[in-house]
Amino acid sequence: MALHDRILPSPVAVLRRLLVEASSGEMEIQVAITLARVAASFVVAMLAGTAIGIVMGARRRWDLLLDAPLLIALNMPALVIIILVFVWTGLNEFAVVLAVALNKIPSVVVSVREGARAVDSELLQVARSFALSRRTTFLRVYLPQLTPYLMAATRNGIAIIWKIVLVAELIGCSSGVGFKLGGFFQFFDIASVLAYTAVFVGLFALIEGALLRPLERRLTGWRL
Amino acid sequence: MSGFTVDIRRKRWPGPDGAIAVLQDLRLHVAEGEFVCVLGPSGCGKTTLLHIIAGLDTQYDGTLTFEKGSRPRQGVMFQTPRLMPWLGLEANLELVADAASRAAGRPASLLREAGLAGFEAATPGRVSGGMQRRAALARALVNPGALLLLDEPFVSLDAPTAIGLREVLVDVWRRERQTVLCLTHDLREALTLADRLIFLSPRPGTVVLDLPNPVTQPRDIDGVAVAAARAALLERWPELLSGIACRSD
Repeated sequence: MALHDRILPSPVAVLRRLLVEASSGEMEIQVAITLARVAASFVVAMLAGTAIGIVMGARRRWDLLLDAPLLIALNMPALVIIILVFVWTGLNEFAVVLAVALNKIPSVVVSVREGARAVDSELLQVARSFALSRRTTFLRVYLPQLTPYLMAATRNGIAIIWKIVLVAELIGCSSGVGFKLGGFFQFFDIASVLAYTAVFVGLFALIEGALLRPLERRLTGWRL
Repeated sequence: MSGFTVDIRRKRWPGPDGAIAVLQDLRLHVAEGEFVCVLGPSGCGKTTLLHIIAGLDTQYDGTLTFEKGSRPRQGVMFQTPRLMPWLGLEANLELVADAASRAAGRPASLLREAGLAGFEAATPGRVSGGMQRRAALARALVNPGALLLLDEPFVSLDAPTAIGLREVLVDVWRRERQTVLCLTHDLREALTLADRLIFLSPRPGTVVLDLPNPVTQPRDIDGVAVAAARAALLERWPELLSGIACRSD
């Protein structure tokens, strides 16, 4: 029974563990550290992926040039990228963010490239014919057409990125939820593993429900 | 000053068996404040001509010069409304309106004039095709004094909507006297709207007839004067106008 409890603790045991970790302040600190890494990686991945995706979607020459590297990057195991980045740049915050972003950038590129290909050239002609500035054309005519694709990349991105951040923390960090989970694993503390997991899943469900879905409704409601 | 002269020696499009000449030796001058209708059979290059004048097509052999030297502000209405589907109707007008137009509340007043009061915040997907066309015309008119380039603005509209839209256009033009180049298939429409009628030949399009409008103001599209002028033109140049007559009958 005791062994069974250790392998699969009851929800009450997990909740108790969660309260203990939370009351000590340790959980909040580690979750905040991981969230910061998730946020930084997400921003870098979205910015780089969007820029590359737009260029590939809008310029056939760049699409042909970068298509093979993109395919390789898409199929590169996350773990391999993490290991290589840690080896090449050292065990530091920059490496964590870079490794995670590099894992996510290819899928953002694929999504945004599709969006850039689907941009309505007739609407861009309207912008040209009324002599809108490049900035206005990009922000008010081009970007809104990419929004559904960016939202898809965002929702998918956040779900993937936090999982990859945990792997990176497990391998090369001395802080964060991934690092803590590594410690719990060594002590076979499944209740703590599940407590941290519950907090993280809950947090991202909250982000999805309270932030992303309303944002998506607001930005892409015109398509309904 | 938004008058202009376009002189196209040749404009070609790539075709399956080599380049196709769309426009050839076409010279056209439109004076400041003039309302010109360009007529021609389908496929004669009218839209290509409008795109060249609008600066949307620069791949041609020829010149385009504006009276004031540089390209003036312009308002373009395409064959389809081409409104930004994520913006409300008023926001669509504000997007292209200059600061003075916005400050004067011109987007909202033009929408009212076009019969779209109460639909300012509606996105294009929520209103009918006719209402979208009205908003597209209002957008073309939003900057006062702009060169107006209209590509068959009333084609395939039901008669009451087309009549209403023509009235909006004529009312604004009478007040502001913009330079207008309007493409149409419809000879009666051209005789109702324009100071001058330009006829293009079948492809490759070139100017084959340049006529001042014989019908005096006020003109009614269903009136006797327009019908008589149309009949006289068809009698005098039956071959030239056959393609146009087929569409307007």
